[in-house]
Amino acid sequence: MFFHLFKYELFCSMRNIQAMFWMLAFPIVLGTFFYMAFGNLYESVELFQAIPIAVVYDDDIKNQTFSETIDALSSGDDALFSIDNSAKDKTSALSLLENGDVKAVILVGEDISLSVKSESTETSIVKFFLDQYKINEKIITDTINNDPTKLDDVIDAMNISESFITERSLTDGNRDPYVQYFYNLLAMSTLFGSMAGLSVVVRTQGNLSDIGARRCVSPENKLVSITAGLLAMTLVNFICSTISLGYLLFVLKINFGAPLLPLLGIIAIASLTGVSMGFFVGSFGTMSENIKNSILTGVSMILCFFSGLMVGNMYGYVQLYAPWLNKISPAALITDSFYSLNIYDTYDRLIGNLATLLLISIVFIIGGFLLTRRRKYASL
Amino acid sequence: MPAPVVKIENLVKRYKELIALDHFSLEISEGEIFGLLGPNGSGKTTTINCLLSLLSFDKGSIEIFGEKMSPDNYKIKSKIGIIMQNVAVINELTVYENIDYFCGLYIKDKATRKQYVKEAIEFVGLEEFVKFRPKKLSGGLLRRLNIACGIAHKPSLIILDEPTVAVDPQSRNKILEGIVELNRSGATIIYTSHYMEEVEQICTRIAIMDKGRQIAVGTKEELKKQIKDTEKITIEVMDISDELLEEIRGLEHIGEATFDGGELSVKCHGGKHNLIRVLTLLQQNDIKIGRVYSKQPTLNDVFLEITGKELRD
Amino acid sequence: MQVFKTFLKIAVRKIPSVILYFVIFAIIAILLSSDAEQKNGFESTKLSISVHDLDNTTASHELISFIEQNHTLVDVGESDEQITDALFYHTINYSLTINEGFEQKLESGETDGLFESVKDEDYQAVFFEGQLEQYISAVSMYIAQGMDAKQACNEASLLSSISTDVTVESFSQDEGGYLMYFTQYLAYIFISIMIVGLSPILATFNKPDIRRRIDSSSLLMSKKTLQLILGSLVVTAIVWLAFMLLGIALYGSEMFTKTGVLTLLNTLVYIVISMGAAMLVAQFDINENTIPMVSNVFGMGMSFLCGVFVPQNLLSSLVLGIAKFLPAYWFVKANNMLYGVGDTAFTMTKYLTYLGIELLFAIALFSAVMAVSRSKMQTSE
Repeated sequence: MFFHLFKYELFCSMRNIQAMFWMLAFPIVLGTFFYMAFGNLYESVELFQAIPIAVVYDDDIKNQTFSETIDALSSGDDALFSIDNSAKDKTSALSLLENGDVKAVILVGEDISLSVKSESTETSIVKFFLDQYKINEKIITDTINNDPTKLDDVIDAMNISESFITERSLTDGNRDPYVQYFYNLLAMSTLFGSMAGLSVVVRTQGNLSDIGARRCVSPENKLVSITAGLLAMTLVNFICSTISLGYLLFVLKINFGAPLLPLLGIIAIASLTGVSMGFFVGSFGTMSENIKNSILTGVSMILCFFSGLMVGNMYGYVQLYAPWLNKISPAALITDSFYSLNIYDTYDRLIGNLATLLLISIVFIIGGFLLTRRRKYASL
Repeated sequence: MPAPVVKIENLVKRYKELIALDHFSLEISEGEIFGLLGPNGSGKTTTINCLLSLLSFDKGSIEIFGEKMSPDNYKIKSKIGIIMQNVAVINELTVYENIDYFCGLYIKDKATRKQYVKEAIEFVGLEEFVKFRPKKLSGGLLRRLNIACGIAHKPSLIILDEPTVAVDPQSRNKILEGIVELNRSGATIIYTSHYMEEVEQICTRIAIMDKGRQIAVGTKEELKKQIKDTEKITIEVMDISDELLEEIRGLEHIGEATFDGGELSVKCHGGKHNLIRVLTLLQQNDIKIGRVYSKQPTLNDVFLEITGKELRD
Repeated sequence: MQVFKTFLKIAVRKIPSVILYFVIFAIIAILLSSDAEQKNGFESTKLSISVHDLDNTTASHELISFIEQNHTLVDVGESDEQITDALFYHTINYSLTINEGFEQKLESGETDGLFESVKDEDYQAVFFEGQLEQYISAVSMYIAQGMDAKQACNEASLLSSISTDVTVESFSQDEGGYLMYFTQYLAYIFISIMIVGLSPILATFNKPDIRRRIDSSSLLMSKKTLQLILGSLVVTAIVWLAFMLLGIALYGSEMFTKTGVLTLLNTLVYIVISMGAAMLVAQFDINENTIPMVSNVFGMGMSFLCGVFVPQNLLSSLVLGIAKFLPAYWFVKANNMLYGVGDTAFTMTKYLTYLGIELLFAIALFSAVMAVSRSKMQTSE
């Protein structure tokens, strides 16, 4: 009986185009969009690269010190700037700026000034460099004026130790913050499995569908049939999410910073959570399957929004203002499981997350069973 | 006398203000094709759902095969086949898979099941459509699939709830023939419908329902005997005198006789050869006769007589 | 006006689901735009920094107040885990620990190992470390001049008054950042809500049976089309006005500046495109369950490709190349330009060009609607 039901539940959901869209096609399509939008963003945009600038000197005033300083900063492997030498006057330099070829134009005359197109960290760095140059110039000038004997000491002191900061690395994982979009994608994909969970209830409850009524009058045991349905749906959800994961890992080559097996473990538990959430919502009240479907889609989307599906640092904001939400939202827990597997060497946090997910699943399933326990209906 | 297959006693079901079943009682014996006849909303489907323990009820008792029916009584459930009013098949599964799926809820042994499913497919004549999904079947074929899903496990009590709604005449006849055949092979049948012709055609015993109450029960002959007018004779004539009308009324077993618009209508209360006696009388009076027809009373007349309204409005 | 009346009746029945979407989207819009920073002219980027002071001396306090002047101090806790998480989710850009003995080392002219950091190798880190280096360098120079640590730190803090003149070449006429973010996300919201709200209503009229019944009535085809368009326009106008009222409630006067009005005009053109898209979706005989899928794929897909969620200047040229064939790209470009965000300086000509391109998309969509509905009529006959 169990395998009979299990087999046919599998058939049903795998042939259900709507369920397949949400659980399989949509995550893959959205994943492709994500990949196109910011697959390489971390390396190309976030990681530091020399800032393209143009420098225009006033011919009358040769500022030798400045040009030496900036040339020094623009050479070598870890150059701060890369100077575009094609511009000889202010007009051509500004047109480079206009076209986006350089981020800033430094005008060196009596005073040093800066032209930029918009405020950004890059242009702030250029401004900051100019400020620093002026400050050092001022201090040295002050020293010459006040106490020239200390000049050598002061110039010595200007170059502080290169190791004034020691970096402490806390993780060997992939620190690309954009990878969290893909965590969220999988969270979304598994939570959309709730629609499969919903279909289990609909198909077993006499007051929700004709098929349910039909099955209620058969000698099948409800506990067995629901268990078979939930397990089948969890398996389908797991397979769909695994295909999505495979697509991300092997086609788009997203670096999840973790081996495959534990990733599959997270997906397995997340799949169960998604299905049980749908089972619970489905057991609640006699609203139509369509309305319950919309509720589940809406809830999944909102939970994923708060865990960062649309705006990447949302999880961080929630952590700052409403940390409890991250502790109970399945989407946040799934996302954070992937994250902690990637970032941390220890498994405490991962296990904590997974345990919470299992607990939520159990609560949903028990709640669902209690709500569907009744065998006779007051009305159909 | 063997214990009845179904025994319903004083069943009461209320939906808030509405009383759906009002002290409804029923007994069905083995081998019957029992018809539940009544207009839409008379409580037929409610009765079936209570019988199957799908619906809770307020009062009364239900016994099937001599045992109290309950949602946990799997022994009884396994002997029942149900064909619901709405087509209850799974759209994602093919015709074969649907029948196998529902049959599998009853029959665990795979080989037996395979045989049963094959027989069910032959029985409803869906051999050519086994690989089709329900969405591709026409209304009539869908109904047949619905029936196959309900009877594949060879139940000894089959309940059909309006199985012919919105079905074309060919499919309908096939379905009705099938029901008789199932009965012949040993199953007790409960058949609900608001089509009196169908019920009259196949049922051995009939209960007529209205507003949740049983208003009459018996074989169709028994039911028809309950009403006064057993036969209605209509004769086309040119003209007829009041004296002759009076004479016709005076004949034995003849109740009413009226003449209107070239038609003589005569209502009879039982008796035989009524038509011949009326025709003989007309002939004796040299009345030219056009078309003649005689009509036996229908269940509709029975319903009309008891409730004062038409079965189908 | 029978068709129009029926249209409105169905529309009223769809109101609950549309309101659900409105509320969800309104919440998302508010959350997203409240996250935005208000920018007035050129200000150096403010970073979020967490500082952990192990030295706890006058010098270290001076340093912290210097950092606070230029950046925002964020307390995320001191454990490694809290710091790692905060960095990953960009709650902070940099975590700095001032080591014990900071003041002493400075006074003895030693600068080795003053700090410990947890950071990413990104622009923000380079920027912040540069600033820190400059501060420490200035402090060292003052100490070399003979000042004590406290005095030197004081002087170094004062140096922040030295600032290079910065000309922002393409400055928008008006200030206002919140409104820009609000309208930016409307690119996602309008397309989604229109497909979810409007398509099912129109789809009802496109169901083969109903279409045939109306088409075989004495009602002129052109009149039916006209009434359907009228109905769609009413729904579109209501959705637009609802969001504009929300905008006024949130950002008030910003809406009525010149930039504000141009922004609104841009959203108006865009919602007409969304209406066209919704009408096109409705032309295909799809069931109600499919409509949310279409809405999500269109809405999310276009938003990610066209720079609604991720700024356009961060997207690769390949993606932008594709995005040019999508209306949201031009909407976002115009919207960004109005507020001086992105690479394009504002000119009225450019603004009108972008609006024109958007209108072309609208025309293309409406033509497609006409073409599909005409071809359907022929096949059904």
